[in-house]
Amino acid sequence: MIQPDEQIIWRYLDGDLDEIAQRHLEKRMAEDPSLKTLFDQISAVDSGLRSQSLEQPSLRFSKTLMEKIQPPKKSVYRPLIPAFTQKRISAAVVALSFFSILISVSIPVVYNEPQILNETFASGPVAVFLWAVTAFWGVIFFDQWKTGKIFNHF
Amino acid sequence: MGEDSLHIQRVLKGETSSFEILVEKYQRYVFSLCLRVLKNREEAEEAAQDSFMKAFRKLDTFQQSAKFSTWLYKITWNTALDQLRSRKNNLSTLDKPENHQIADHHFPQPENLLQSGQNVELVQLLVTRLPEKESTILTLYYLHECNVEEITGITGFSTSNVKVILYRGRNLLRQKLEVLMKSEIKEML
Repeated sequence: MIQPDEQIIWRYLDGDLDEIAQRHLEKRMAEDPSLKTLFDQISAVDSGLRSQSLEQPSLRFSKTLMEKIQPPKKSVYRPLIPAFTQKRISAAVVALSFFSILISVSIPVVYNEPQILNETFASGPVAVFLWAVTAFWGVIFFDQWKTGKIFNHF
Repeated sequence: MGEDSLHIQRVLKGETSSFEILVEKYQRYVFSLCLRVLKNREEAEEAAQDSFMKAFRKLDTFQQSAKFSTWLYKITWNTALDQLRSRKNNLSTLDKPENHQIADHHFPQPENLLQSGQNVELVQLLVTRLPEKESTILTLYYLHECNVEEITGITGFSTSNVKVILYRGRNLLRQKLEVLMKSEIKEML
């Protein structure tokens, strides 16, 4: 089968021609300027094709992919006070705080003796209670922070 | 044992982070292949991500005797074709096909590239404008440096079919360049 010159030139550039066919083409090109022009055109396209560069995906391509493959591990931290207990104790502390402050403030006001107010807050049981409330909220705050429920967006 | 095989072994042993090395190495090849099929950057990126995901899930079926790149490109080719088919199925009458072509405003016009003598960029642009088959086979042959047998393995086309598509693609490209040059000469006159 007779191959068109174009095909022979492409095969020549691909290194797909045997030595005899290569020499034959080179000889023909030396004798035929139009064939040499065609060779130069095809050769320019070929070198353009060989000089192409790869396309670049987005900069986060591999990171996005690896996040899909390997999702970030969730916190395995176990809260010091379980969530259910936290809610029950919180409700009790709020109620107790409300009533203790109400009583502490209303007694001196009712009896018109402001020094009792200072004494009440300075007294041992109330002070201990206030410290306990502060510590309890501290533990809850710590749990919330460790489990990522707060400050997660910073 | 090749470098790829070492990383594959590590991934199979549970060291998933080793897969990132393979992704970094092949992402540009996979993305370029998807872009040549789909001719849309966003869709190509999505298809490239899907291809890597599939490769990761099927990694245990990969035969170590084979070439990893050829296996990965085969997955990529099938994924991109699936996406192309689903796009064609979803294409409504209002949705014109040219909406899915690589947006021209992102790229210089061929005439400008010809005038400024940017021949490599011009060829690259014209390759992206060839039909999917021709564009992809040319990409695999020149950019991915796959031989005809490897392209046959990736695409599932017969050897003679690959050769015909390769030949047709290159000629189409040459014709496009010729037309451009002729119109340029006419303008100059």
